[in-house]
Amino acid sequence: MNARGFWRGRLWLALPLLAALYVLLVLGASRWLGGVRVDLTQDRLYTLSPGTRDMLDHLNQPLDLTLYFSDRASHNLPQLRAYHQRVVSMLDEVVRDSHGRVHLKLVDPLPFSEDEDRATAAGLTSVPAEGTGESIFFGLAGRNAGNDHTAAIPFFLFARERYLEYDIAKLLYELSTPHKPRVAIYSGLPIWGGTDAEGNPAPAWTALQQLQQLFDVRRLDGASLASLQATDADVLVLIQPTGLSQADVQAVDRYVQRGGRLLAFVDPDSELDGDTGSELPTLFRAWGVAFDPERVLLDRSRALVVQSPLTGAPVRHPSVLGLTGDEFNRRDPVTAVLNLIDVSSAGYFKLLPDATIRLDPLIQSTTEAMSVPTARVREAFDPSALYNGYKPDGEHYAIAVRLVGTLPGAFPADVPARPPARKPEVILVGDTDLLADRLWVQAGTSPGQALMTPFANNGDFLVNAVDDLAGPSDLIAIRGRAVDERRFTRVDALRRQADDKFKAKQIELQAELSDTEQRIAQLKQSAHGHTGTAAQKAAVEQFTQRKLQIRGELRAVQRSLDADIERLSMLLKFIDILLMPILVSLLGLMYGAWRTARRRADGA
Amino acid sequence: MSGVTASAATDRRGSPFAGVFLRELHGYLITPVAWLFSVIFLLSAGAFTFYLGAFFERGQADLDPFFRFHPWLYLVLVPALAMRLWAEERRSGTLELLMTLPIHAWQAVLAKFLAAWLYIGCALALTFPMWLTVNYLGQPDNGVILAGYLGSFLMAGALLAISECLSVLTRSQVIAFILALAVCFLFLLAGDPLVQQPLLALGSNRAADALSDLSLLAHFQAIASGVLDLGDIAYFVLTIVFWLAANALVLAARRGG
Repeated sequence: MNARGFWRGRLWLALPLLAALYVLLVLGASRWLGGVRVDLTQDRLYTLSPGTRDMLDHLNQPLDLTLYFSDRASHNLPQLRAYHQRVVSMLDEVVRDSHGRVHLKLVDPLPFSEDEDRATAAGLTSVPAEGTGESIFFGLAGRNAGNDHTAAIPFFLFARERYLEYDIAKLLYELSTPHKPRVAIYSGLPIWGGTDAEGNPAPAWTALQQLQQLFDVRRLDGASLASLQATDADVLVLIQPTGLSQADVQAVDRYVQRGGRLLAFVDPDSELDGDTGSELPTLFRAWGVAFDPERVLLDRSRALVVQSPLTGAPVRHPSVLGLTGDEFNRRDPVTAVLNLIDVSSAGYFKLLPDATIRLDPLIQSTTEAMSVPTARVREAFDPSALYNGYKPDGEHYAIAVRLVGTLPGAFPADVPARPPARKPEVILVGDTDLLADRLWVQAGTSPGQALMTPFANNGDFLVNAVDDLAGPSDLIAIRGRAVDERRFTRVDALRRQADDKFKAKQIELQAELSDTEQRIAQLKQSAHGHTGTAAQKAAVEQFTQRKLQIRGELRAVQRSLDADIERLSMLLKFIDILLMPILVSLLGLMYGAWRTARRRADGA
Repeated sequence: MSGVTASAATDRRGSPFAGVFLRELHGYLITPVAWLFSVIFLLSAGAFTFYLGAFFERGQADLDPFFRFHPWLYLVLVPALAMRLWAEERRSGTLELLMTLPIHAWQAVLAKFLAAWLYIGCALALTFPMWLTVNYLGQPDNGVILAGYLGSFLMAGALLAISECLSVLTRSQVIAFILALAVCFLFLLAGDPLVQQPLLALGSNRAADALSDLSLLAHFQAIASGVLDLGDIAYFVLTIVFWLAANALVLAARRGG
């Protein structure tokens, strides 16, 4: 009895003690052991890349980072809190690898507190929480303790999770560089404003105004372009540069070869300056890129509605395109989080067969696109006329591209003997209209000044591209890592095969269908609304039959497009859902039967 | 399994610990319930992945839709597997027999736990066609998949330790099951608003955060994202050790009584 009492007493004592110990140990483990980790991902997504570490090694001034996170207000946003954890662990890693030069402070900016004012002053934005409507801050403010230079990440967007390291590294870079990036712009278009056709003063383009807020923007004329050195500007932006002399083109090539960064907008049909061509395509050709100013893209699946100049009725214009989703390169920070880019009569870039570089498309068309002579679009008063004889080329046309690899010099004399410390970087865009206000901002009326509200991301695209090009090579190395998208390549291949096999047939049938429909219409018209002759009636009947038949065939083709993929899906479902359970059941039954048989044999 | 007496097993295999462990393993082979467990696990893991997780339609070469449902599968299946671990022994009276063996309570607890964990591990390993499938369809990040399996196995271990401990409290398997289900559910959801809300209502953010550190789900998701953090691993090890220790304590107390 004594022993029993003894154990009972100890049990009740030991269990709560054990529980308390457990809670303490678990909390301690996540505080003190967290961060020691093995990164099993192939791309080392959770380890700082050599580019970031290199940048941290070269910091020469102490940087203070303050992470503002609305801890209290975000309690019912588990996804945001988890992302906050991820951000904190990455910042911890940055602090660890910074040799004591980066300091991190975590702040919860409560409503109406001084912290909240400080967060707002640092350039952070808040978003209202769903449900409660409380303001949520989740951004990073940075300050260079040496020169009081500041920079911020206004809000950690979940959509940019893959670029978390890139964004943080960029902030560190901005803090440690003493000046705003210098951007030199040469344009053949009236982007700087001035006076319009009627002599009224016109403001500078909104896209340009945005650039001016963020960068140190300088306007180049012909003379200053010809003498431009790589050290004069961090980024050179050319917008439909007209009237370039050979010397100017050579200056651009020299600038790039010496480690300059170039963002060039060229347009086969710039609606703002008529049809003045540019000399740049010769330069592109030397680099290995083809751009034909005589060809323009149509893409009926992305056509935007415009007012027909002929009738005034709304009509879908196949060369005024609203590009979204799959048309953007999600692996490139320039286009990673864009939603919509509007372009008008855009051209496209192709790699020349003997090129030594690679083209990474940033913005591309769908496979429903086709290319037509520029003159056709320019002379089409009625946009719907562009649909005549429309036949998709089945190809993704690259509207904006990044040139990857070592660029061959167009003028061998200008190629430096040693590769420059800063790597040349070039982004080419086949449209200039996308920068014009009418394609992406709407002027609102607010007292005093016109408030511009964007309805497309065209301005963001320009800022992103310049921002990206202004960064150091280390940053670009980090960007290269952000490859994450892994698709079912086999399914894609099956789909392509099916497309190859059936698309031609589908197009053929569609052509025949519209032909037949046209004939029926003609026949009916020639009958002038009256009942036609018996022969005419019979012909209409015959064509109608044929029409139904073609539609049936089209449906069959559509079905066979997906047949292989459907078959694969069924097979995999069988293997992954049913096969193992069936095998295990069989094994179990066999084992049971064997045991029964053995027991019977033993008993006998 | 209670048909095979523990003493017979020890006689045959030497150490009492190995004896209990092998007796348990053998038990899984001869009970239809255990076979049924693997069949249901495999069937629902596959069906959830394809139908609820839209594995094929989403076209991404990873096993996210597969691992996403593991916590909920285990939530039902692990308590079902563990409910009889001690309750059955107590009901049929074999517990007294087991207690007469020259074996520490913690050894018996550990042996039963390891046998059951190994058994769940085998069922988990039999999902390998999923891994083959995703490698056939594309080029997945196999490091992340490995981490997913590891996290899933650790989570199963933690839920098992909880369920085993609760099974020792009662003679009734049904009560053991319901009790285990409830506690496992709380542990899974400790970080969820559902559980956090009452704490936050009391204005205790610190307590709420501490509670989410206790959440099985959060630690599992952290590992399954592809990074083995010592903090996460320590959490699972501590959780398993704590519940097994509690189990051994209760058992020792009963033996004392």
